[in-house]
Amino acid sequence: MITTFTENDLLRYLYGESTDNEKTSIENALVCDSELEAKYFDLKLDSSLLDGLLFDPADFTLDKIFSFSCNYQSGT
Amino acid sequence: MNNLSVSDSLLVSHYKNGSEEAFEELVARHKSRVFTTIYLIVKDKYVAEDLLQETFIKVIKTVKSGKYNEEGKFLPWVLRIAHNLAIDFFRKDKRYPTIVMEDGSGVFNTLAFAEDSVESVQIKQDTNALLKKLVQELPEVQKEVLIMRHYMQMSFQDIAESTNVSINTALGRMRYALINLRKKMQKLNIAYDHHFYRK
Repeated sequence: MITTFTENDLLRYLYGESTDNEKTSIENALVCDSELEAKYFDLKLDSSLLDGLLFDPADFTLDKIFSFSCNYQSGT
Repeated sequence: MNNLSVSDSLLVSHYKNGSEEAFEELVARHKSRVFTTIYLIVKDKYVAEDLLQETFIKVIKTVKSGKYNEEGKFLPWVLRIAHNLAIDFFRKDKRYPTIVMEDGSGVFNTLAFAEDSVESVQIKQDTNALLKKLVQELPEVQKEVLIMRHYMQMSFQDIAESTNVSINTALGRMRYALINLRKKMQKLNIAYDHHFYRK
């Protein structure tokens, strides 16, 4: 039986939200269907791009947080 | 304490028992994700720094007073606090007219941090800053889903419930966000620049 998958299905798979059955079916389909595979890799590439988009707060902000934590006592 | 095999849950437990080192490890693990989530919403680095502090002050107070719910996972909980503070700020901020400088920053930040102009130039040159700009140019509903799914790690079902749309709409918005981002990158001819793939 041929199962067709939408890009929404691929997106759920990419983010680990497919059921075990769906996951197996999609993985099988990706091997056989080069068009589907291309769509999946596009989504994966876009998503990995976002992994690189991370910013770090300034050290002085972290120092203030740690200082607050050291000095804070519950109930005070 | 720099051992990734120690779970967040255990670190929270150590922190409750007085280990500031455990708290520092928790912050070190999650500061970038929490900060990025806030920054992408409020679009202002200095406001994001303030809101990050507020977020962790809430965390500190909640954990130290014994009110932290052990059933939830630490990071999603912190991200929810951060997201709510950022959205509150964003809504409040929209009530007042603001003067926005050419680079998108508020005029008061420019005045207050004028000495950081060299840093600002560096930020502009940073490829991350460009990607951030592209994300911020996305339609609001697409950006919202993208932040919730990619940075806050909410499931599509949770996003659908929290934004009052069907799961297919949430998925569609995420898909269009990624497609739009790709198109913008391609337009700028930077789609496959290796600088974007830092990991």
